[in-house]
Amino acid sequence: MFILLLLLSVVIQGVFGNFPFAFFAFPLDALIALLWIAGMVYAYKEMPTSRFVQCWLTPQCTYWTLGWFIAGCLVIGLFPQLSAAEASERSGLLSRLGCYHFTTSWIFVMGLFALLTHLGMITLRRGFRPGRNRWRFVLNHAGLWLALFAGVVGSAEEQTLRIPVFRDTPNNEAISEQGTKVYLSKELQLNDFVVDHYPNGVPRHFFAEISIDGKPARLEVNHPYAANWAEDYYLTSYDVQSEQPRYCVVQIVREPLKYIMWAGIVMMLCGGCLLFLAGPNEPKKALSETSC
Amino acid sequence: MMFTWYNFDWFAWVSIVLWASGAGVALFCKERSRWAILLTSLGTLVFAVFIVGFWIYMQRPPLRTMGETRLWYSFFMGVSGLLTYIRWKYPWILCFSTVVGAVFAMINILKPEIHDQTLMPALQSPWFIPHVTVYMFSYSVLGCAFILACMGLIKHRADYLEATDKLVYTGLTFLTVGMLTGSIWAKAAWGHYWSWDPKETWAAATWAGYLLYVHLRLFRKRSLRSLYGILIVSFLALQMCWYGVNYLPAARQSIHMYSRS
Repeated sequence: MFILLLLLSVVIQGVFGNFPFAFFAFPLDALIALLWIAGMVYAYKEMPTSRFVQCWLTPQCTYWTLGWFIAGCLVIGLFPQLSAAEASERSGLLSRLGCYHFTTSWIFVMGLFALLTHLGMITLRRGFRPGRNRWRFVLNHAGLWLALFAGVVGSAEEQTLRIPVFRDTPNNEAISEQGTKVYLSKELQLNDFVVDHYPNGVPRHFFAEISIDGKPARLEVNHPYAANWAEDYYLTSYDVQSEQPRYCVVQIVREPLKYIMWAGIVMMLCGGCLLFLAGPNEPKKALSETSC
Repeated sequence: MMFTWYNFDWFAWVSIVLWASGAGVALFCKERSRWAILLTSLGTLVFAVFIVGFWIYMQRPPLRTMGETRLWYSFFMGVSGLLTYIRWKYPWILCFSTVVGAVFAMINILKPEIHDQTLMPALQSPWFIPHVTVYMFSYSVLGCAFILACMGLIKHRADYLEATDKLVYTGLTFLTVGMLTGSIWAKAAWGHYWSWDPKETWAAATWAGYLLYVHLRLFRKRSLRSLYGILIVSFLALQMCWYGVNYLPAARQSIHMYSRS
């Protein structure tokens, strides 16, 4: 089954090109996510003995999905990753397979989908079974599931904008990662900028006081300003030519699923601590592996 | 006394001599040797004194440059080798941990770099120290697992697997904590928990490699050669993540490039 899934992803990638994340924007992503979760729960509860469900619960599935993920990481790590526009200008087989923008290649996305489905199914199975190290298992696997889920499903909603904020005039014209202009509903203006230097001239510390539609906000590296639950403002650079900077560049990140990812990370941190405290499990007797 | 980079040689040589003496004693003793433990502990302590003194002198944690991370690696290699020796009593483990620790210390001696007091604002975060030290500790523990895997592969013996399992569980825990604290820090500094930056990508490949080993062991699958092979390949991926990635063309886009030294 996994070989078929891999081949299918290669064919889809070859025919349709990279995965259209933008197409799956809200509410389509939420609908698909709900159907997917409901499908996993239904399949596990109502058809636990079916060959299809058993396939997603085998150790063989673990090896396949982890191997697929590692292979994907190696492609991303070894090939230069370009922007979507630059990658589309490349030709050849590797480009056709999406190697230059592999995080949106069907091959990688399908691998993540398989990994998420496997993680979801085994978490359901282990979560309902009492026994030693149950919480360690659930925290690690459900945590990874949440973090990956927020990363994959949240990609359609995520938006990163950059906007120069001037001292003289308010500005609301931002640039997206794709290079298109986006007009914000609020205006930003720089009120004050403070830079402290080391004796050799390297910046030691800097922060900006800006106003967002008249509302004051302080921006500093490592200390973003949270405009609301999904939107954060980051100070990314500033006018280094002038002694008194005339502008700074602010990055606006909209990430509606950020708290889901945060919850997944915290769960994995707790699961990791339990992994260290309890140590290795007793190896299980070789499980019968269904050929999928 | 000033703990500058210029007197690192003295501390490094004293540590190396103490580590080598401890390793030599361990090699010729059939039982766990107290002298080996004492000498190795002293060597690690001397190294630790330099790191603390250097930290105070620099007025910042010495974790910014490659040379500074090598300091921590040598130190943690001493710690991990000693703990492995105390727990499993392999007489040769201290030889290997000494060689690895000494090689990284020697690189710093032979390739002295400028270590100034500047610390760029992105690195001025409460996550900086836990993120890097936890990673360095995991690298050293997984380094010990790598040494055992090589020995296991050469001698074709399965009895090292008990030790590699425990080392991998410990190393994987610290690797996971390092990666997750890094992602929380990345969100605060750059706006995204994960951005598939070259360093992050190799960290994910390394992490998944060790996960594969853990799962294969859990289900008693695969031959000895495959298991040891996965440990060796995962450790090579770890080297790519640590410094190998700097030599890839993709590293030019990396947001993790604080210093190429």
